[in-house]
Amino acid sequence: MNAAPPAAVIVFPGSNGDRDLFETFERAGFAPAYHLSSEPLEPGVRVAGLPGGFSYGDYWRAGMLASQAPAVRSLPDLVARDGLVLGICNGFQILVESDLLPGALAGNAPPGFRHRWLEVETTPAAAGPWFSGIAAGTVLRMPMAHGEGRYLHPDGPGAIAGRMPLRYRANPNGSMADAAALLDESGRILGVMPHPERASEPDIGSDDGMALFRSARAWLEGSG
Amino acid sequence: MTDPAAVAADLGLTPREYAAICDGLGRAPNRVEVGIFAGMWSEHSSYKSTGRLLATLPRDGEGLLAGPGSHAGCVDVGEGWAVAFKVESHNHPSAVEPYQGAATGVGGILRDVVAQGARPCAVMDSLCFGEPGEGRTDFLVDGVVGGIAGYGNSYGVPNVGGRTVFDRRYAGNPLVNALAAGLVRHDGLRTAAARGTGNAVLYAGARTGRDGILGAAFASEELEAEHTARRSHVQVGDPFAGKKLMEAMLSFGPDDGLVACQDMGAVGITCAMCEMAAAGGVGLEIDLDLVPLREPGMDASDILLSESQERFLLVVEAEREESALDHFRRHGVHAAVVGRVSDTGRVRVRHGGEVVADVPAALVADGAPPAGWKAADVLPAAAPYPPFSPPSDLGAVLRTLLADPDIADAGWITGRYDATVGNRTVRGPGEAEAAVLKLPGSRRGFALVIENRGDACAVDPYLGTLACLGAARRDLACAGADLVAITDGINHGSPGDPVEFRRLTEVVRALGDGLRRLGIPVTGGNVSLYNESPLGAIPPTPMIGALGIVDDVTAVPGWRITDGESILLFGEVRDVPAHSRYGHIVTGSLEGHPPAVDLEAEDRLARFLLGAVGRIRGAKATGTGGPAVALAKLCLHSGVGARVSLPAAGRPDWVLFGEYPAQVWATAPPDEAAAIAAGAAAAGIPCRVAGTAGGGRLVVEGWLDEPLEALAAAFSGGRP
Repeated sequence: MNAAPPAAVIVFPGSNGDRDLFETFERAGFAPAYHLSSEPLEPGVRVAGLPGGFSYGDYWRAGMLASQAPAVRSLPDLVARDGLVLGICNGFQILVESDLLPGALAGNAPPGFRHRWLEVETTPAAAGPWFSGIAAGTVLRMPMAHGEGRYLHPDGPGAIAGRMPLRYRANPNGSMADAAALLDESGRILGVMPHPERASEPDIGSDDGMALFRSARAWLEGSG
Repeated sequence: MTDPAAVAADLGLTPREYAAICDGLGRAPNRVEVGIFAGMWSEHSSYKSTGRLLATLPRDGEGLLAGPGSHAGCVDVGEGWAVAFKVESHNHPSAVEPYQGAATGVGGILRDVVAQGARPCAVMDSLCFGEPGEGRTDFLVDGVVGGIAGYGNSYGVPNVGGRTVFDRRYAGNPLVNALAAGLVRHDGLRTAAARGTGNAVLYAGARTGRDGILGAAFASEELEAEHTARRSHVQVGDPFAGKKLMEAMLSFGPDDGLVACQDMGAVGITCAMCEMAAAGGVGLEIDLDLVPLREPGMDASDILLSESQERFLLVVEAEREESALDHFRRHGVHAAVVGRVSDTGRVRVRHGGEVVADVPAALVADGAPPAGWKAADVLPAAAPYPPFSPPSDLGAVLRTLLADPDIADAGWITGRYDATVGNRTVRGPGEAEAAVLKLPGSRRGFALVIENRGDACAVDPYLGTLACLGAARRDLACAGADLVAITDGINHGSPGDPVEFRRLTEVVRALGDGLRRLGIPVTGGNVSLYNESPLGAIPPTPMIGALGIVDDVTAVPGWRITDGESILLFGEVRDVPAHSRYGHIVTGSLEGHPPAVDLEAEDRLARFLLGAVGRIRGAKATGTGGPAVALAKLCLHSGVGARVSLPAAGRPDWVLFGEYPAQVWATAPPDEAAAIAAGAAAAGIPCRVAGTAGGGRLVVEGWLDEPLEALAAAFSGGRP
């Protein structure tokens, strides 16, 4: 049995999904620690999680201010060390604002914040650290809770075809190509708009989200 | 205007109250002191009209860790955890500026929970508006829902349910009540009682501006036609600041030097300093020059009476004040030492080097003379429903009821609220008869409902209030929860009207009788009076926030019906007129027969349902719209039809749509249904195996046969 991989949950001022993400990392066998966004990540960290919430209140474009945080600027170093990055909801917005993932997350269509349970489906692009062992076409149930989740890419759907691991089964926000998540070229940085960390046990509605966390842990232990 | 007596009158103090101030001080108050009393002796802060009434309510109970007088009532829910919960109104601010009014209502009640040391884990809302599409209703709904969503979603507390009522009697004065609940370890409870001469008084949170000055006094007046000019009395919410402040407060406890804390809500720093001093039997020396300000030129009264949001006042051990300041600054929160605890029992306030106010804390906090309103000897009797023949098309009645704005799918409201952040929500909006949350790392949990039956209370405030309590017991039991305590939000017209005051006394009398019958306490709450507009007084509208304990969250019955399951109906089947939405729709009367109530039967049924958790799979209490609406909703939530038969009756319409107490639909495996029914009968509870789930239609043999699609179209209320 390998030691639990150290996971950093980056806490921005106004993050509100940090505790949920921490508990889900823990449940999946990681050794999580909270990490203030004002400091670069420590070298020993194997995976960084950017939680949901309203960083800096999101009174400007969602994720814009948080994308400048020292912890976010240190993420490329983590990826260069074969580490992994997971941005959920506001965390996904921050990854896009910081250019670690391409494209943009615009206001929902129809407009406004929406919360609901929904289903996403893995695509053939669901491969690499976050999706190893999850077959294409697997349906995962989890909640969405956002107002700015409409994924757009300037070059159209073709540009993201191979990097879009999850698609909405019923598009709730107008995202291009029904995209619910996006990977970087290395497959190590994952941004996902609905909340896998809230689908962490059957009692609260679903534990489908655990598959992603378990996959990442197995990958880190394998590459160890 | 410099004469203090004239200023006092202008700020709403009566000549009798002014005399009591002079008496208590042994001199005339100065202008600043008049402002302090005007805020603290307003109805909102002093309970001068209702204090004697509320004192008659049962306030003690097993497991009650903090009761009325605390920031929020705290109840033991097991495994060392307590739930802190309270309901609060923000009616008048929401009438003027709906988004900010509602947002700060949520922010304020969350701070009450935080002040108790609890981490907020749920919000619910109970709203009353005028008819949709008429007057300002749509504007108010959009603003209020937006404000509740905007604050709670950003703060990161799930909104787990609520109730929205549309009734023209609220058109001129909407009601916006919010309930917040939080979790705290038994040993983590905080107090507001200041103590320790020389200890530091520490201000933490947003800087003070001119918003919301004397908002509490504004809340204690009737709304006038030109009330939109009162925007300066409405506070402005900042959930980002509120969230940072919450994290800073919850990570600062007695080990860090915390002695006492209170949020600065109504009447701002004045209320916090006077109540904290009075609670601890100490005095405070406060220097307003040290208060962090947002704008220049604020005078002493501005600072004392500002209701700027996201602020706390703390008492901190003198030797720990530097580390305390560091703690709050590290969390990005303004903090300053603004005074010291003294042993004088007086709150003495300096500004610009001069003493501007010097008042006994107890006089300000507890000295408001009871208002002594007169109650009318009798209430005008409501006119019963005129006789009418049963409609020929009962399916059409069912569709009309399902499309009623109070009954129709509320997803267009609840979908704007985050219901799952925090990973505790076992059953959220539209998933069960009550919201169910789980304790950390446990199968144990608790459930919350908020009940609101102003239409029934308008007919008979005593019976309507009892009906609310009965519904709370029943709805919680349907979700596998045993009712243990309530918080009450009383919303009412002007107590100066003897009829209105009599209605108020009836509501409180019913609360007392009902709570004693159920054997549970009220843990605190809120009173909002003067809910009147040029259109008249609102119906008496007690909002009952109820807390129940769930032994096993994995066994909670939901709004679920599965093909092939048996369907049981608990409760007596009746066919006599009673107060109901059906009666209103058929006759057009907002009055009608008195509400049917039977708390004994509710209690018996609740006990039985709790004993049957695990065998019962789905449960839905009958409520507004009667048994047919409840069964239709159960079918629509699952997309599965049902075929049931009910006993022959002279008036099938009243059987289907009448609102009677202690009725519940439940589902169970076919091989267990008969035994459950027999068990109920043995416990003295009428119960029948009414039919079977399945198919795409809702059929009540001989009376109703409707395809689910038609019912779904009605239930959508015409919204996409």
